[in-house]
Amino acid sequence: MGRLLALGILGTVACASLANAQTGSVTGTITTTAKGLAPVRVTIDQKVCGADLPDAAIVIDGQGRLANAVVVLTGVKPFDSRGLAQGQRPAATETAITNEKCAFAPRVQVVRPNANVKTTSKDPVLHTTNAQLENGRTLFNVALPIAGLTVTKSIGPAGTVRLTCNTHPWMRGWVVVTLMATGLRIRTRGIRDMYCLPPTSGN
Amino acid sequence: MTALTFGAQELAQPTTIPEMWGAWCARCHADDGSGKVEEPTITVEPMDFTDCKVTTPEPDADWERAIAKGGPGVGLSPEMPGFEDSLSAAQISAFVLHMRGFCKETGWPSGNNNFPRPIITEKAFPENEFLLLPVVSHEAEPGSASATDVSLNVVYERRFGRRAMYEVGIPFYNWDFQTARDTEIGDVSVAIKYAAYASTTTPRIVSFGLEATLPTGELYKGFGKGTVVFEPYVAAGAMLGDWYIQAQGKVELPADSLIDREYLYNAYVGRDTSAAPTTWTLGLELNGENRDLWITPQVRKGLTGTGALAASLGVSIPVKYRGEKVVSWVGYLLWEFLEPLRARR
Repeated sequence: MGRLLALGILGTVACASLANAQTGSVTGTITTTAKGLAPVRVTIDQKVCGADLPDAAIVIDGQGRLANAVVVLTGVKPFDSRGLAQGQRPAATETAITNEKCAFAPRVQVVRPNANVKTTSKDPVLHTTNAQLENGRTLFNVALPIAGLTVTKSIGPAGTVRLTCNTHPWMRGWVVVTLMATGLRIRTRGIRDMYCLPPTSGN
Repeated sequence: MTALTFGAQELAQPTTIPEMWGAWCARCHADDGSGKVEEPTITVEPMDFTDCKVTTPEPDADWERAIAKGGPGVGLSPEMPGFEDSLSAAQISAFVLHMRGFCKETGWPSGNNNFPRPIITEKAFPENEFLLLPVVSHEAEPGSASATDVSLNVVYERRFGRRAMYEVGIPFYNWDFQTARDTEIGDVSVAIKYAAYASTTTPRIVSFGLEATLPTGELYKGFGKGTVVFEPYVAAGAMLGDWYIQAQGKVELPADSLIDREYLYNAYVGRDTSAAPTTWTLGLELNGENRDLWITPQVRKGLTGTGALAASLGVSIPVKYRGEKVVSWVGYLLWEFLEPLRARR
């Protein structure tokens, strides 16, 4: 969690100057000096998960460019009642989380408030998708004992949601719920083509 | 089991309830239901399903809700996921039956006979409970000052063996004697109860009990009877559809032969408004003592997610001899002290 917030602060600086503009965009790359982590040793369901898995908490390439980063914009006022910039389409109100090879895919995503989350499993072992807010309150915890099963739940109004699996403790995922979801792009090699969109308030 | 190819491996897929238990539930609850696994993947210690005194008092409906909704559905840990989207109602019921099998001892009465406690009618199912039972009566006769009497019965109930329970009750009175209020202890009671019959297939239970009140209360102020009173009783319960039916018959046999016997009879009908442990339960009692009769509408509410704390409030209205009898507010605050009040973190 601490890592995620730290990355958010990096991105905040990039967009602050756009507060007075009607529209704008930010293009950039998140880099870090942090090193990648050692693989996670798997002790459960090795037939499905493998003997070890890469620790995806920090994913960087050879140039230090970071994947799975979320940038939070502050001090930007809304344009219209929907909180959208000109020319922006509302983000999908539905998203997907897949339990695959004992990892959440995608590991990080940004969705709009109250989006429906379709969680599914491709693994023939019991997974759970346990979604908790930062204060520890559980939004939902669904069992996915059968490969191919899909369960749909609402993600709630706002906040950073942590995903865990109660049968595979190393599994982590993040869903950032914000009105700013529209236009935010997350690439596997840093953030590019990121649109600066209004939050729900001046904060 | 059926086989499923996964990558280069072939994995056996569970098809029966025991196989599903082994593949899914045993991760946390262990193959034998003890909750003791070598490498736990959750932070809370699961309930020990082999411990009959912990698991048997809960009705199937609560276990089914825990499986369907997950731990939060019954006020327990959110680390228990919900299976309502992956299992049918019949499969969930079958899991409960399988889980019941981890208790290897016979003779424990089924929790399906454990109905919500009425305020006055004695419950047939033995319990581990601590109770506060207040009664407030207000009398206002024309031409005289009004009087409000308050009493509080403090009751401790504890199970022993598989079907028995003992109970100790200490009543406190605070009565208005016009010139002054007086607070005293009444007749202390001790009791035992035994569930003689408890069906394992349909919710039906019959218990026998014997209560003895000791002459610890002041006779001349009305706080006691001045003699030991033996009170054998029978209590029964059943379900008709979604309705709880409970009844009790009791006779008071004073050791002093100059004091008249009294006959008490109580009947209760009620139903829950939802399946959650925090549900409201609406009920109605008829309470008779010799030729007197009261009707007691009441409402009960689970106060915590597990239902380990609950409260009830009712009003006891005289049906006969209304000019002589008063209306009383009655209720209880109940704590099932062996159950968790909330989820452990």
